Amino acid sequence: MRKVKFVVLVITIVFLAQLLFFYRGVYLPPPTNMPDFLSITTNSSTPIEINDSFISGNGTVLVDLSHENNFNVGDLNILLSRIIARGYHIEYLHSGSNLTDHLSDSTSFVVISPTSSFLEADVNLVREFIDGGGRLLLLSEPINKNKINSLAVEFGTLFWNDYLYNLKENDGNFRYIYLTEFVENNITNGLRKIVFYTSSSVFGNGIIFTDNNTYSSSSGEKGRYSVVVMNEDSRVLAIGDVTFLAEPYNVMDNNRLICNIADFLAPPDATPEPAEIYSTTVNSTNKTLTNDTIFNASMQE
Amino acid sequence: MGDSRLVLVIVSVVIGIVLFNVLIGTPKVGIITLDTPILSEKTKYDIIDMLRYAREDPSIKAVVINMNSPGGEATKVEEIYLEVLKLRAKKPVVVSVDSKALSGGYYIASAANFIYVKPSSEIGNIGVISIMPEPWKPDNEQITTGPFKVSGTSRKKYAAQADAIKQGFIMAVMFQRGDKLQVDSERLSCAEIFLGTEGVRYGIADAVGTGSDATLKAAKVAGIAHYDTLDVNEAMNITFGGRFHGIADLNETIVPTNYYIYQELEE
Repeated sequence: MRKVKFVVLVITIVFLAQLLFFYRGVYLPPPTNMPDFLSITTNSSTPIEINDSFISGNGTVLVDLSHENNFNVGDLNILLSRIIARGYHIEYLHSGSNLTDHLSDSTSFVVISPTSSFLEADVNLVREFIDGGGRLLLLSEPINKNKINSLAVEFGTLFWNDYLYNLKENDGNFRYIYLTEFVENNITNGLRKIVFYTSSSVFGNGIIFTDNNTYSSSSGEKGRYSVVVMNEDSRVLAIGDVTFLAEPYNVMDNNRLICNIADFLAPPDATPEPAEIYSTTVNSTNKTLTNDTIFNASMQE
Repeated sequence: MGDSRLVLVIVSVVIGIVLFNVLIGTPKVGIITLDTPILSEKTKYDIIDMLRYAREDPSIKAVVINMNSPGGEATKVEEIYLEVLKLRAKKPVVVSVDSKALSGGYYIASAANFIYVKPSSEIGNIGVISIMPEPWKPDNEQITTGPFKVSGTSRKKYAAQADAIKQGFIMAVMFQRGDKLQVDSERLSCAEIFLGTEGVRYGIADAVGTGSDATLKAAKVAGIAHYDTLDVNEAMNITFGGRFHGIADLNETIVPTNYYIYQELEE
């Protein structure tokens, strides 16, 4: 019996000695914190219906396609439909066409993302057009490399070589920025919140700005950047994004902005009477030209 | 009498040693090397098999993951991350970053108890990369039964989905790093690559150190003073040879896929 106890004792001592040699503690696993993945939602707004009230007019809006413009003409459909609804005619300036002739017949000129530069002679023609009462819309976005500044600088405007982003609040991607700061203006009339989808900042007389949490990719700094400017006594409108014009990116008050741009490009006819005010619903389903006349108003009153 | 007692002692000692080795055994620190992008099913299952091996082998008391990965396909990365959490619930896991733990590589590393980096290791790049679905135009040769059968969703919604996946990534990192993190979610959202030293400063990693530092740390957390190491890759005969060269390497599927992967800009 004593021998058995002795053996057990020695075995135990050897066992414990090895245990202490190899082990000095136990592992206490930390709590496994699992994020609440189910609380994550996709955040992406959808187009909303608005009421487009306007006074009809008569004229031509010229769209530049002669500078290897990098955009999809189909993306302008909403804007063009609003212009046509206002009684205006759309013309396209193709390569080889005579700019002088076309501008002389036009009320407004739209230039989007040109990839070939405007030569000095063409810039002078556009300058004469503006000085003569014409209107110019310049659109560009950072995704498309282009030469828009070859024309823009003539009118005190510069499209910056950046893109703007906001990591705090956005429409489903850091490049899809909300814009809520507006200078009171016909272009900003009725706007509360719009969204631009990869916009550059634009130098000039700003009328729409980002909030202070928005970064510029070129400076890496956050600040209040202008994305829409209006120069030359409200005759030149420059916008740092193009995507907002197209479905399904015409969300929030983007449709309202598109209608305001249509008013800018297709102002009411100067002839006094009779003038009719139309109202139509702008949404993704209404693609007809039928407008509901809500009342007749004489311009002489 | 003396001789018989001596024999008893020797026999008892031998029994004691054998009993210890049978019941407990020399503790080991398992070394798993992840030197690969995580793009294929085979790679994913190889990694998961190694993690399970380490979890289930009673002689392995702690695990070191030698990490050198630019990341990979989102769902594969997430599964490996969850497996590391399962392992960590049982045994300590320490990551030793070699040259990179980027994107999905960092996602996996964030599940560890401790992360060692070299001063010039690259870590972070927290975010998602994908290719937008092509807008689909109907034709008469192919019939589908819904507008998103081919593209999966609209381009606008797809961007929002990628952002949602990114939010999950950031949430996972913030949960696992907890109070150690010295940067907020906005900074993490930038998807920056941090150097090892920056990572330690920002709480994205824990300390500058080597693979052997990681092994010592793993052993210490496990409470083991003396140990052997076990090369799990070798024990399971697993080698990785894949390299990620760029977005062209990503799986081409009709419905796009999301990736937690670092892609260098092409010249």
